[in-house]
Amino acid sequence: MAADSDSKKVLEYKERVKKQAEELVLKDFPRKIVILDELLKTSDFNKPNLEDVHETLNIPVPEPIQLNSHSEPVSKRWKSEKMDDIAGTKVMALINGSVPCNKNLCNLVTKVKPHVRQLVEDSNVLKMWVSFLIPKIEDGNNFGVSIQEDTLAEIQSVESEAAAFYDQISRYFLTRGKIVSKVAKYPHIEDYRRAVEELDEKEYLSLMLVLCEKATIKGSKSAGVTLLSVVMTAAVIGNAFYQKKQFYPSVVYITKSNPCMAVMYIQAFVMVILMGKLMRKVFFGQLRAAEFEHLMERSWYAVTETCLAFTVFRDDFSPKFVALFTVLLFLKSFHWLAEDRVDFMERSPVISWLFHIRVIALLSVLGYMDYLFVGHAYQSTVTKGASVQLVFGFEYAILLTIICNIAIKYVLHTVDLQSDNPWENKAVFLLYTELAMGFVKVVLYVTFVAIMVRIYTLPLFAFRPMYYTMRAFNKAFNDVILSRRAIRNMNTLYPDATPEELSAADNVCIICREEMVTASKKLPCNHIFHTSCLRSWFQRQQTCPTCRLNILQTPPVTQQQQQAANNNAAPPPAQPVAAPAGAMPQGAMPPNPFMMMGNNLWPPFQVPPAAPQPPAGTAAPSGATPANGSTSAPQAPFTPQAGPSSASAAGTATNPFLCMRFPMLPFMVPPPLPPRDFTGLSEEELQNLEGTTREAIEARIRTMRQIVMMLDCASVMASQITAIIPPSYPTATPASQPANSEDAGSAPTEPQPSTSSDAPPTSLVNQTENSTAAPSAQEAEQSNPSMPERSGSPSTSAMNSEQEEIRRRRLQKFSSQSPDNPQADNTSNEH
Amino acid sequence: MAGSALRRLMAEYKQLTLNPPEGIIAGPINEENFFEWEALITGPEGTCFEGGVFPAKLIFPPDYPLSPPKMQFTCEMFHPNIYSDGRVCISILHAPGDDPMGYESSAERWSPVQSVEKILLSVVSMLAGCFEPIYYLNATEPNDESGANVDAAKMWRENREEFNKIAERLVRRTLGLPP
Repeated sequence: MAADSDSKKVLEYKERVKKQAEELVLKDFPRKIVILDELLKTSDFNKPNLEDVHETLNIPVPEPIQLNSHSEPVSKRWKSEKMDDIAGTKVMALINGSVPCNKNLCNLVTKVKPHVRQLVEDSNVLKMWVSFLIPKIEDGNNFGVSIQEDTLAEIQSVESEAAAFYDQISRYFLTRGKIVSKVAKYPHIEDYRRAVEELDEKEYLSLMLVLCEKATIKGSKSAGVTLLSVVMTAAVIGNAFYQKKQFYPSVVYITKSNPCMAVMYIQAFVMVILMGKLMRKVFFGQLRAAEFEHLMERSWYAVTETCLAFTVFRDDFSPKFVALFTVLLFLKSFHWLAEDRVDFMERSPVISWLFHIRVIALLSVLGYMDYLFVGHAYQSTVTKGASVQLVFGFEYAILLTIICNIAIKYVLHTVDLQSDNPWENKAVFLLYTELAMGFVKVVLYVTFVAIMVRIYTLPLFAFRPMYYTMRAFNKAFNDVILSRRAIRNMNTLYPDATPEELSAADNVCIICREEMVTASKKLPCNHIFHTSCLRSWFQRQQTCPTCRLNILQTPPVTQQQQQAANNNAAPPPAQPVAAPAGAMPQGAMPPNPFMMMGNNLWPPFQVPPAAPQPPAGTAAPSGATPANGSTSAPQAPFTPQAGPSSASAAGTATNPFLCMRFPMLPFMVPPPLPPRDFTGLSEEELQNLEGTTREAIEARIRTMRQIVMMLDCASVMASQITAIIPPSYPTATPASQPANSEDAGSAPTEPQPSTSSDAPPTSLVNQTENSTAAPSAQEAEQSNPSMPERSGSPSTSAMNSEQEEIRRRRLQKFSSQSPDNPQADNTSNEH
Repeated sequence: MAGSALRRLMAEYKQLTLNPPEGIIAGPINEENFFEWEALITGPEGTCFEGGVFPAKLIFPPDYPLSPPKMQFTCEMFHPNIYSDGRVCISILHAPGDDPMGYESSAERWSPVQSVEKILLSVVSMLAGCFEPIYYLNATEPNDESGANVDAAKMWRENREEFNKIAERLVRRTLGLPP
């Protein structure tokens, strides 16, 4: 209950604060502004001549005591000896009584102080109010919260400023007291008296500023600052003119006086900001939150770099220099905004005419300005020799390249927007633009740094942008290379999807979720995408978006090879598969089942046990393991090709590389070989192999699959051997391989009937199609048929004749390919 | 023709509006900016998050769908895979090659095949707790000292009751009920 009543009280308090604050904002502040404005108008604050503020110091110049006369040398100890008998603290005597404070200023201080105190209190209330409100607006969107946080920070700064003002008052009196005491001590030195006057003047100015500032904070901040600076400038100029009566002397007066110059600088700064606001309104309208954030972030970097640049050119430091840098910063920020705006075109659903007009106008204005400044810098460097203008020249040249880049982007986006179909080549153009501009920028930066090092010193301020430019250039370069490779692969390796293929599947490109009508490509894994979508994806990743088949790792299946494979693959599935096809999916027969297989089993392929198991004595290899081994085997020789692909691709490829390479060495793993005879099989199993029942056929298929697996292993080992043995000993390959297979072959295999068969049997025929790498494969294969020959059923004999046919073709192909084969394997393994 | 990212986002929005998956609502906060979405996810039934409605924010990159979006819960969450500031840490939200430690295989990373719907469904199943809390995901954000919520992971492992209690409190809070 206690907690309840407490929370109620807190709520009440919250309400009260809210009400108070709202009242403050709605009523008190406007009233305060009026009061402060009136106060500013009173005679106290409106002294046209700052000399009126001065207060005469009633410290007379006393008669000099001639301590250093030659006639009467006085020892230094005289003073102390004389004064020894006086008790108490020694005090400087001031004949005319105490020195008063500056009455005018004291008056002002007493007038301003209550306002300042009020301000501190008000800001405290406001702070609380805003923090109470934050969660309330939070559930709207984040923008409101950020505004609130900004406001909070603003109020806090006001509060601290007010506190600082208190400090300032006491500091003023302290300083004044010190100087007055000096005056008292050394009444003859006129400068000290002058210092008091100056101090009074300064305090007057700052008091006025404090008051103005308060007025500003309470009114609209920026408008207040603007008004204030204008008023102050007018006051300063008016004052100067009033005093000096003529133009030239008043200018001299203003430039000689630091406070006046400060006012002028503030005015100039305000003008720049106003100008920026105007241009923003004209060219951009309202800035989006993201744009504003970008701008702030970048301008901080720019400001720091400018400060660094100041250190290099401290000798040339002058108002003109500062002004030029301000202009540079100003223009730079507009370049950034223009860049953001043009990038936004791609993301905006509607682009109005106003947008186009604004962008074109802005780009031309900025481009012209850059051009002018570059020309000016060049002229000045040529005529006057190297100076700060060098920096400006380079900066503007860089900005000019940025403008070019933006303009090209803008044109590309506009052309793209005009057409109804996506423009495929846009990405390529953008990429090359990026590359070219990056190159120009890098060249510019390098030249700039080189020149700077020669003439001045190391330009620290140029390093950060230079680094980023180089990184961007490097990225663009890599992008172009990757993109080119992707495009080349797509154009040469992958066929265009035919209309039948498109209509067969659901013809939506999974990347852009739009229908594919034309310009689509089919990857080796049979997935179909828009050419343009694929290309942009391949710039990032060289994998199939759907199944992540690494397209750079897959063997470059040339058209001819593929054709051959397809020709070979086409007939076999017809009969042998059709027979046991009861459980097999028949309709969805992928045109290139080998690739499909490799890809379906891609994830298990990355798992270490993918290495084929020695079949000797394996009691019950489940259906998955042989399938696993058989599919991984043909992939194995290709895995080392991961090397040339990009870093990311290499990362994914490291695992298979490591686990495949070593276990696959022929010296470590005995190669599995088919049984020479069927002594190892029981009667029942032999019966299972024959007959026309489904079990019998399945058993046969399993046996065949094991054979296929062994063949694949043999071919893998052969390629491994060719990789390990230097090409100078080509004869070693056939010699070592059969020997090995002989050794392992002595262990008879037991093809065990397994319960599941998840890989379509078509794969096995195609597997054999593709495992053509080594002669040993042929030899092993030739020793195989003993098994199928024994079975007398019609379906196996059909399969047999089929195999005969396949072998014949493969021998043909092998004889035509074998000369280059070891070499090809070799190069691929070296990576 | 507008940018491909925009078109794809519009297509996904349409798809989500026409066939909304159960327990998920998502759409752009503002139709003028399709790159910031808001999603409402209802806690899966039979879990400690049952009944809760959790608001989240999705920020899409300009090159979506080539890069993954970022997802952040805008309410308080307590889950091993959600950072204390609400950012969601699941592998399909990580671009391939993002993870220098190589903890996640690229098969479960972002690819253009993924969609807003799939992301949200994965988040639902993440809330349902079918995933073991994955500590190593912290590795993807090395500069965040808090990491994905380690406290939550620890509690999930060691003190499930307490975890459920906290989750229930969060659910009540999202519904505006007193704790």
